[in-house]
Amino acid sequence: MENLVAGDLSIDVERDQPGVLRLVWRGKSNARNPLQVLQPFFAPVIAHAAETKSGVELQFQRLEHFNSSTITSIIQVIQECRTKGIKLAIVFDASVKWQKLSFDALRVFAKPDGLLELRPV
Amino acid sequence: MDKVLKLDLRIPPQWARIERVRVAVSTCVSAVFADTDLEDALAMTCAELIENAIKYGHPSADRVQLTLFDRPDHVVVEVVNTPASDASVAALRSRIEWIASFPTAQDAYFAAIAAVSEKPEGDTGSGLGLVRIAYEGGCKLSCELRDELLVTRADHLFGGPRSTTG
Repeated sequence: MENLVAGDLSIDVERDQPGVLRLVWRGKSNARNPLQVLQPFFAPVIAHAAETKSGVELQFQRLEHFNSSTITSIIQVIQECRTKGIKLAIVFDASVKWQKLSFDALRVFAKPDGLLELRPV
Repeated sequence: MDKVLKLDLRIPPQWARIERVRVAVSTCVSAVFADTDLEDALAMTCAELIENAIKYGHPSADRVQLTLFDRPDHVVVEVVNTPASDASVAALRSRIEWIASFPTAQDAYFAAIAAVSEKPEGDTGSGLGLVRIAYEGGCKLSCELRDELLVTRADHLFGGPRSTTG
């Protein structure tokens, strides 16, 4: 798994904590079709997490902006992780209003299975 | 001193221009109001409206116009473009009416993201842009045809409730 750099967006893969694949988003996700960029990046990440029974943590605190099409890609990651029984944490900066509004709303996908955790910091 | 926000931009309908406009709006709103939340809300609103104008505008159109100005109790964002077809205008109207049918913009947004999860794989259209403007941007949306040009308007009420009916 390699880091992603695509236009104004970068996502770094960090494995400093055993059992967790941490993906740190930086910059801006403003591509016309983010799915085209994000799907090939996430496919091996999710496959590896399933194989090693690791959790995935998406860190958005350093993301400056994303367009609405990016939200679709994030929802697909949530669904893919649930299908494969992978624990997914979404970490965001609750002091930034756009982050709080955007990521808090993803709680509609939280279920009693506890596979999705929304973690404001 | 009276604060005045007024921007009038005409840009080519090119995707790469959107980020520059978003940053320009953010900078101008910051300079006038020094309010980070307002800056983010209006910059996002402008970017999403221009994205829609480029995605659903007429392929041979040579410009998209953005106007941003303030009133005593709100800020107005207007994006003018040549629509691709009558169907694209009807789809826009229908989406705005759908958003307004919910008691709050938050209700509309939650319903919209739940609907995204039910879309077939490979369907890249999120349909979230307008509802995000209503919810996260705190705007009331409207649209009209003016001399065959489509005008999409977002009114952001200062400190107002996030109501879809404004």
